[in-house]
Amino acid sequence: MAAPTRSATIVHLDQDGAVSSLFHRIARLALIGLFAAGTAAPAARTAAAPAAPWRVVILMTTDPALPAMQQHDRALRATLRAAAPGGITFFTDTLDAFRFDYRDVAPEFLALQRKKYAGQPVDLLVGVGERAVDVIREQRETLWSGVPIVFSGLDEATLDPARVPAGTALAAWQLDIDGTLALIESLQPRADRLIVVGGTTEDDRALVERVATRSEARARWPTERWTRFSIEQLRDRLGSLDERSAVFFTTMSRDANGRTNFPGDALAELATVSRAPIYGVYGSYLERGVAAGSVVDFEAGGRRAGELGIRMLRREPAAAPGAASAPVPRCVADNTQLRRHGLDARALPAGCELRNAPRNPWTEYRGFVLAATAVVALQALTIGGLLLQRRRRRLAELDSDQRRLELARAMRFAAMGELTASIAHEINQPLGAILSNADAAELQLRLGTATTEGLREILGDIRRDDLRATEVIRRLRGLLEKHEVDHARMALHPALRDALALLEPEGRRRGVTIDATFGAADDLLRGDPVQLQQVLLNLAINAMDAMSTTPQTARQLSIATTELGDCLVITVADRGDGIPAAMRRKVFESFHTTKPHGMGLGLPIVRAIVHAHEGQIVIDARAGGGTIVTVTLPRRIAEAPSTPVRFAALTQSP
Amino acid sequence: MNDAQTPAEQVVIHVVDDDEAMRVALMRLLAAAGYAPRGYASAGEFLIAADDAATGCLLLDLHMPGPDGLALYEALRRKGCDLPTVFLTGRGDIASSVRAMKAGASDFLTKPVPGDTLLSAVRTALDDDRPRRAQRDRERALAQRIALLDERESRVLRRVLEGALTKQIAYELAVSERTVKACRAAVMRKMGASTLPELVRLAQGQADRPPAAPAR
Repeated sequence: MAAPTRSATIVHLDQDGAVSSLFHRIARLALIGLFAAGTAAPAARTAAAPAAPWRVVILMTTDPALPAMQQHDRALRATLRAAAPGGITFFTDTLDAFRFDYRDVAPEFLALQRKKYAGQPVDLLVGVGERAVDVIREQRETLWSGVPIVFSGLDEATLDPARVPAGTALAAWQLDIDGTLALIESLQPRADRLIVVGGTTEDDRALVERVATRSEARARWPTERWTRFSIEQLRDRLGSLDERSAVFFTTMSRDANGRTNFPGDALAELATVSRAPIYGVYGSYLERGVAAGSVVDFEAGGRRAGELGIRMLRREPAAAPGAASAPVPRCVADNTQLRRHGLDARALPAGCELRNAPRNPWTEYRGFVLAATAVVALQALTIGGLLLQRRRRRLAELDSDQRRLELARAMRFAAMGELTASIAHEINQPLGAILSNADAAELQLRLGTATTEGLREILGDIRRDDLRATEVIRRLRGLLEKHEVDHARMALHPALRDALALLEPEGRRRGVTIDATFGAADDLLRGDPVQLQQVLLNLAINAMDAMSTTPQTARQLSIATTELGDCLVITVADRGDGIPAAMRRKVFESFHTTKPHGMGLGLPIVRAIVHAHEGQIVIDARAGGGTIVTVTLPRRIAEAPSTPVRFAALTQSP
Repeated sequence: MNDAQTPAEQVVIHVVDDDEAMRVALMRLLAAAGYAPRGYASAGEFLIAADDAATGCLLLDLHMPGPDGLALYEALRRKGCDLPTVFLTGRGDIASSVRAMKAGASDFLTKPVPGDTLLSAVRTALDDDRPRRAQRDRERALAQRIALLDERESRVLRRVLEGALTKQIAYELAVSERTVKACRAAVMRKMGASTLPELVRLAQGQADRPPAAPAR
């Protein structure tokens, strides 16, 4: 087979080198498909490799497609291939002994074998299954003379060592019937019978008998042998069982109706309807419906046969028959089936593999859980960070609120500064009057011209003037003292009148007539009196400044309050130069000023105060010349008694 | 106020201050010191009330609505009223005080002003004004006498003072010498002069002012 493989490779290269047509590609694929099945020659093999490929013949007892056989075969081939120095070629033959009696076909089979392998050197022969042992033994001298032989797929318990020819290696396995029965006992302690189900072939019956015998030997339950039923009958019968029965499925290569099948397929068909749990001893039955079993591991068997084969191929001395120990049967249970039949997985012996186990989120999704936890942790960190940042910002805001309060107060000082001359005058006048009155009284007393009536009049005037000066100072102190801004119910008009009292002397000084019309019938609102006074002071001073070049007769400052819905409106109007429309927005910007010594903070502070009162401030041109500033303040009487005040940023856009 | 007893002659002091309390207190002080104070709430009020013959002293608040103290003072000066004036101000503003003093103010006081400071300022103003006031009184008397002369007597007086002879005057007026002599005697009588040199001296008292000045 090596020669055609090589030539195929050459053909492949030629074609590749020649024309790359679709036809050639298909042909190439077909060739590769044909030869890849029969050859283990890896693509990496080179013509320069000195070692010849191993040629291995595998003789199977059963259909090679039998799941158990496939597991065994895969492991066997992989093990051998991995050790082959120059590649490996497998040849497969099968006796299909479950369906054909070898004695009937022996001459023809032998003739075929002879024809196939007569001119071919064979490096290793692997016989799998009971029947293969007999066939090989019979052909050994005629066909396989001098060929190393490995037997596999034999049950250690039933094997007659005499059947195994000398000089051959044996990789037997163990059917752990007792282990499985023990498992049934622990899983179904209250079971009252064991039903051993099997097929009608000789091997089927033999295994049923073995299991039943072992069960009876344990004397735990009555044991029934069900070997004469068809699949259909078994479906009915198994479907009418209850949980007190245990079913031991052996093998079923053929049922009572002569229907042949892979035992695993029959098992799968029965398991779907069975009301009693089913047990088995073959690893290939897992996932086909058995609830549990102490099973033969066919893969391990295949690996072991391969290892023995390698030793024989290498002529290693350890390749004596029976040298390798049988693979230990594994306890395996299927959680899906256990649950279906109400069996408790905790009754399984320690170390028993539980398939389809309830998914433990931790083992199943460890990576996902870790990732999710990490994400959550990161989010928590982020949230924590944000909270910290929020707190810092809050503190900073409080701090900056404090600064703004101080700034607002500083601006009140500045406003007072503008009024200094008139305020000094306002205090000077009564002080001067007091002094003159006192001097007059003294003089009268000295000259003896004093009368009681006159003196009483003088004292009355002195008291009145003193109170007048005190009142000015009270208003000043009210505006300049540090105070916590507190929005409470307040009457607007008295507050404005206080501010107006400070403005009037300034108006007189500047020759500005102040015309105040407090027209709102109800002047209650929630606010801070001092800050609202500051609003009026700043606006009025601005208005008077704007009229510095206005003819004296036209210098009129109009201050008015009106009601508008649930708002109080304060208007401050002048007859000054007016503000160009383009500048009207800029006047609220910090540090924008048109005054030679202005700081440009008056209007921004005014607006911040108005916004803190949730109000609006609008500057418009006044009909007939000048500017009119309208401050609209919602009453907010219904609000909570006292709300902490937040100042809007001074640079906030209007 | 040690020498407060001096003026007993009921000199009128005009107090112009828009602040009533201040005005009343000042008037009270001035009255106690023996003056006759008169109060005005604004410059306009004073202008309306005061006549050309107003005498005494003006006490003027510098800062008032409408025309302020300085504006009033300058207006009065232009009008020929030369009352001695003491300014009062709420704040010692150098610019306005300089302006006031240059315009001829007697004093410039900052409120609150102590009583004796005020009274001595008023007294000083009045004292400084006394020679001028005497001169003004004389002029006023002369002017009153000249006003008594008719047209012919005025011309005779002017020619006499110019040193013209009686014959010359008679020729110019196309009257007899006797008539001129009778006219001169009437002038002498009306002017209160007994001799010609006395008439000349009397008439020269207003030499720097032309006789027609009071009619202006």
